Formats: sequence, structure tokens, C-alpha cells
Amino acid sequence: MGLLSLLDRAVVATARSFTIADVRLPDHPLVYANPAFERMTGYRRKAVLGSNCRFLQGPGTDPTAVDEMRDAIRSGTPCSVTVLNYRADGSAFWNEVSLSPIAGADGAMTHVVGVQDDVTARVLAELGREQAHAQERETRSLLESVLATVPVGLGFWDLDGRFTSVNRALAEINGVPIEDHLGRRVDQVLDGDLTQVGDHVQTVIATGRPVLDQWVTGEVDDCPGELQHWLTSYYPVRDPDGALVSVGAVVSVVTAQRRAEADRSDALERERRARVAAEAAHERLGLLTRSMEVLTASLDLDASLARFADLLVPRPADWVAIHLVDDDGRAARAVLCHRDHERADRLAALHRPGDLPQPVADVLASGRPRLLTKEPEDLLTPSGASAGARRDLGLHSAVVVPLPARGRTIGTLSLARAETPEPLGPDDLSLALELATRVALAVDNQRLYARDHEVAVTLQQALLPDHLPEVDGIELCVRYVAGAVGVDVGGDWYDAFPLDGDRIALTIGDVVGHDLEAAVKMGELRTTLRAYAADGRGPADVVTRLDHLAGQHRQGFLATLVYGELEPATGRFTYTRAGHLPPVMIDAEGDVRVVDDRPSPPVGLGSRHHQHTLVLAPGSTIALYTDGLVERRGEDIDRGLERLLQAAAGTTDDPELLCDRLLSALSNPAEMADDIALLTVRRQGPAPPAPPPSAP
Amino acid sequence: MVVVPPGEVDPSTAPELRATIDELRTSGTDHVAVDWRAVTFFDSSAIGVLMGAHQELSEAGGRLAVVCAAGSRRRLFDLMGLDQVLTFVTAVDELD
Repeated sequence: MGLLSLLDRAVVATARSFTIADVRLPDHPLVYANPAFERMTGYRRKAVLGSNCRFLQGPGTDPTAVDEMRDAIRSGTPCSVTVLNYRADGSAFWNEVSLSPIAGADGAMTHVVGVQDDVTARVLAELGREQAHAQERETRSLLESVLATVPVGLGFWDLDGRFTSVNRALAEINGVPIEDHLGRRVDQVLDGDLTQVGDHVQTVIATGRPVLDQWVTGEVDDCPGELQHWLTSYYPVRDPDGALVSVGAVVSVVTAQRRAEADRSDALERERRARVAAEAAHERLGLLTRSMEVLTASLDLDASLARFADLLVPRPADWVAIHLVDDDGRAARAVLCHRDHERADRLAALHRPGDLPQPVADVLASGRPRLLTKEPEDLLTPSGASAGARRDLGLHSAVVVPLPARGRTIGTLSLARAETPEPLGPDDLSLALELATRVALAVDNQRLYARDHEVAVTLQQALLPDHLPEVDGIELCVRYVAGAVGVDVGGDWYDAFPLDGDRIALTIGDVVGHDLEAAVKMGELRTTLRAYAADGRGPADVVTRLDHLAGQHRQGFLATLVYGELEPATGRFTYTRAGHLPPVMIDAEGDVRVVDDRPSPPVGLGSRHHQHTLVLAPGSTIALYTDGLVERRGEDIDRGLERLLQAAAGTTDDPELLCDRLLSALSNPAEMADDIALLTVRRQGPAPPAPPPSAP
Repeated sequence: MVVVPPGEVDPSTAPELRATIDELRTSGTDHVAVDWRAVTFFDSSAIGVLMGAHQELSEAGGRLAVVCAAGSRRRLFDLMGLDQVLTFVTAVDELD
């Protein structure tokens, strides 16, 4: 076989695809393709001869590669290009084409020999690797930009505990350039408290588990003297097989937050203290307000002082004592209080009335408050008490303050502590002084009032008749009860005086108004009435003239009254009832009735008054009274009248007894709001009838 | 003009009632009515206020009326003969 035929057989047999194109013909057709070409491309040789090998190109073919081949052919230079080609069945493959020009004897190119290799697998592998590289580069650059920009410090260590990577934020935190970290261990980069970071890294390396939320506090070089705070967490970094390859850490600067927290807790503490102080002030104000309420609620001084002292135990004091002196400086009243009322009573019982404890006497004399630190028991224990009794009290501190009123000291207020361990202090003293002014005011007011009241009562008594007339055949009884302290007093009055003709005038009245003025008016009225009565024109005339006079009174004058004239011999009682409650009659048998004849209006309105006449039978009694006897708050007047009738029934013999009965049945000491005047008149009866003679 | 006093007319509340009526009178109203129907307690201080108001209003050519149901509350007024002095009506529409 010749070399050519050997070559020929080699070309046919080779696994590499082999083509020859004739470049002298237009469009450079293929003139030869070996069997391997068929196998590689799937095209039958016979089908492709005469066509340009561009039939192998398709949509994915890179035009640049094609141009390269064409330029090579044109310039007659060999080239080797990898290009995407398509098989006959449409499937794509990477074709590494090596083109070699063949020249004739004259040097001009006649043919191009192409050798093709299906390098799909290789190209794909390369592409995959390239892609992987590109992804990795992309990821790494993404990671790097995160590391660079994120405001938390990120650090990585290898399993020897040496820094492998540090982002800018961590480098700034540490105050050390990035490169000075790498390859070094923590204790070579950081010092002081910050080396605990290295310990945490070692823990992760040793245990393979994260170490989270570790506070690290320390100083950094560029802010000496200032404590910084970081919150750090450490994570194991593992490779795809799960093996630990490094340790990463996240470091946040929390100095500002820690400082804010510290400030907040400082602020909270300040707020708490302020609140405690405000509460104390509020409590104190509440105590002062309640004290005023209690002290002014009633004019019963003993009750008010006792209730006031109760407000002060057990806080602020265990014991409270109030001592009052009269104008001569002698002990007038003492109030002693403890939370345990019985204990206070027992102690109070040991004191002699008129005793003034020495500390109290001292303060009364000086007018200045005292804080007792030595022997505070002197304040409460009676003189002559045993040492044991003094110890038992257990007093450890006391304040005594004067009660000032109108330039004088009228007593003292004392606070003492025994069971409460804290001694009384300046705050307690100033509280006691404030309370003292209020107590003093209340006591002084009550005294002034009581004095006024006394004056009024005295005046009123002076204006009432000092003796009752004695008239044959008539028994008179009168009662006058002044209203309780705390109520102004004034206008009730009664009168009884002889008229000519052996008659007797009887009056009961009530001037409207409850002040001293009313009492004075009452006096005027009584005198005037007596004068008019003496004219002898009868009750209607008397009262009408009285009314006329009252109407001329400057200040508007109003009074109710019953004025009657009684003739003892006949029992005729002629009377005018001007706006006053009706008299009550008890007959000789003890039956009672209200004398309900039509009244005329109260005096002072310019009305015309009329009169009625009734006969007081022998043995019967008529009772005249003022509304204080029958009126009760919240009750109909008829109810009171009924009570009066019930109380009066059956009392036939003795006007004094009747008065007593009526007062005890009807007056209500607890409610004594009003004066009561009561006048009872009994017409003496005949001797009791003789028993009938015994029947024959 | 109808004045409604508080439920209890006693020395502590009477002055205010007086002041209310006075104000009406001084501002030109001389026909005043007081609605007594809701009053649960009153004493002589109330009587004093009513009487004083009556006097002043009558002097000015007017009158004081009291709106009061017949019955126990009216009783005290009757016992005192005030029905002869004041105008009593049982309902507001009876007022002139």
C-alpha cells in the first residue's frame, strides 16, 4: 500500500473528524468529510459535500468565532477556534475546529483542512468552573462589602485563636489597624479586660457551640478613663461537611445604651425619691386638712380634741397629748391619746386633774417649742410614778409645741414616740407647729363662742320674768330650757302677769331669728305687750296693736305668740293665737285635745288679729309651748303634736309634774337644737266628789 | 317666676333662698312663687324667709305664692295661720 492510501485509510479510520474545503470554488464548499465527521455531526457525508460548513452553525453560535475562522481562511493562517455547532438532529455541541490552509505548488491557497473535536464535555466543565469562580468572586465581594460597611464589628479566628479576618468596624472598635490583627491572637492585640474575648473564642473552639450575649466592659486607648460597653456573641463556622473551621464573632458597641440605662435608673431613683417625698408631703397636707375638718366639725371641744388626737396616732406619733390652760394659766383640760385607747385611758387616770407635766409647764412659760431628748417620759408619766412605770412607757423622743392664740399661749400639743423606732425629727416638729396653730384656733373659737353663748343666755334669763304671779284658784308652772351650745339662742319667751279684775295674762312667744338681736326684740315685745294689756281691751286688740308697732320696726320683725287672759273664777280664757302652735288642753279626766281654733298670722305682717274664748273647766290644764318642744327634724308637725298629747294624757293634778313629764318625753338632748319654753296653767278643781251614800 | 328651694330649708340654707328671692325682686319680678313640694324639712328660719319675702313683695305691689300640695307639709303653714297671708296653690299652672 502506498503512503497515500495509508494516509487515506488513517483519515478514514481516525476518530477525529476531518474535512477538506476547496477555497478556489465560490463559498468554499466541503469536498471531503471523513466518517468521523458523520459520526460527530450526524450529517451524511454525501449530503454535505458541496456545501459550506456553515450548515453546522446555529442560533447559539458565536459570530465572533465564525469571523475568526473566516479571517484565518482569508489570510491563509491556521487557526483553532472553539465554536458552538449543531448536529443534524439539532442538538448542540462544542466543536474545537482547527483549520490549516493548504497551498499549491505556486504558494496560493487551494484547500483548507479542518480537524474537528467535540469538546463539549471539556467546555462545559470549564464553563462550570468559570461560573463557580465568578460566583465565588461575587459572593466574596458581597461579603467584603458587608464586612466593610456593617456597623457591627465582625471578626474571624482560626482554630489556633488567631485573627484571620477583621472588618473595619471591629478594627475601629479595637483601635488597631486591620492588618495588625491578622495572624495574631487576641491577647496580642487587645489588653486588660478585653482579653476575655480570647477566652470566649477558645470556648467556641473547645465546645463547638456558640457563646452568646457576653457583655464586655473596658477602656480603649483613644478614650482613656471612660468605660465602654460591648455586647459580643461568638459562633462556630463550619465547612460543608460540618467540621469546625473557624470562629466568627459579632461585636456591638452598646456604651450609649448602657449609659442611657444607667441614666434612666438614676432618673428612676431620683423620681422614686421625689415621689416618696411628694407622698410624704401629700400625707402631711391630708393630715392638716383632716385636722381642720375634725376641729371645726363641732363645738363640743372634748369630742373634737379627742378625734383630732386620734388622727395623729400611730403616725406620726405613738402618743399625743393636748394640755389646755385657762386665762390664769392653770390646767383646764388634758387630752391623752394612743392607738390603744384603753392604754391611754389608763395612763390618763393616773394623772391628777390640775397636774401640768414639767415639759408642758416649760413650754407654756417660754412660748417656744421643745424637742425632748432627755427623759421624755416626764411628758406623760405622772409625778411620783415609779422608775419601772416610766421605763415601761418606752418613750424615746417627744416634741412639745405651744398653742398660740391672740398673743397668748393657751396650751400645748405634744407628740411622742415609743413603739416607732425612728425618733421624731425636724419634719415632725414643723408638722406639730402647723397642727398647733389649727388646734389653738379651734380651741379659742370655741371659748369665744361659749362666752357669747353664756352672755346671750344670761341676757335672756334676765329678760324673763323673775317670778310668777300667784293667783287664787290657778296653779302655774313654767319651764325654760336654752338650746345647746353651738346653736345661737334668742327668741323664745313666756310671761305671766296679773291684770285688773283678778285676771291673769299668759303669754308664750317665739321671735323669729336666732341671735342676740332676737333676744333683745323679744324683750321689747314682752314689755310692750304688758303695756297694751294693761289697757284692758282684750287680746285681739293687744296683739293687733303689737303687730302695728312691729310693722314699723326698721328691721322687719316677725314673731309668733299666744296671748290670753284668764278669769280664774269662771275659767274663761280669751286668747289670740298669732301664728303660734296651738295650745293643748288636758281636762279633769285626763283626756287631751289640741286647741285648734283658727289662728291669725304671725305678728309683724300688719294683720288684723282675732280672738277666741274657751272655758277652762275646774281641774283642767292648758299648756302653752314653743316649737322646740314638738318639732323634730324630718318629721311632720302632727307627729310631734301626737307625742305631746300622749305625754300629757292623764296628768291632771300637778302642773309641775306635767312639765317634767312633757320635757322628759319630748325633749331630745341629742338633738337639742332649739330653745323650749313651756307654760302650764291649771284651774284648780272642786274637791273630789264625796263617795255616794251607801245604799240602804 | 318659680323658685325651687333645697330639700331642707334651715338656718344654713335659708339665707340663700332669701338671696334668690331678693335678687328676683330687685331685678323687677314682683310675682314670685316658691315651689315647696320637694322640701322635706323646714323650720322657723324658712318661715322667716317666706314672711320677709312676702312683706317686701307686697310692698312692691306684688305677691309671694307657695306651691304646696295639700297635706302634712301644708299643715305647718296652716297651723301658723300663714294660709291667710301667703297665696297657696297646689300646682304651678294655678299661678296667675
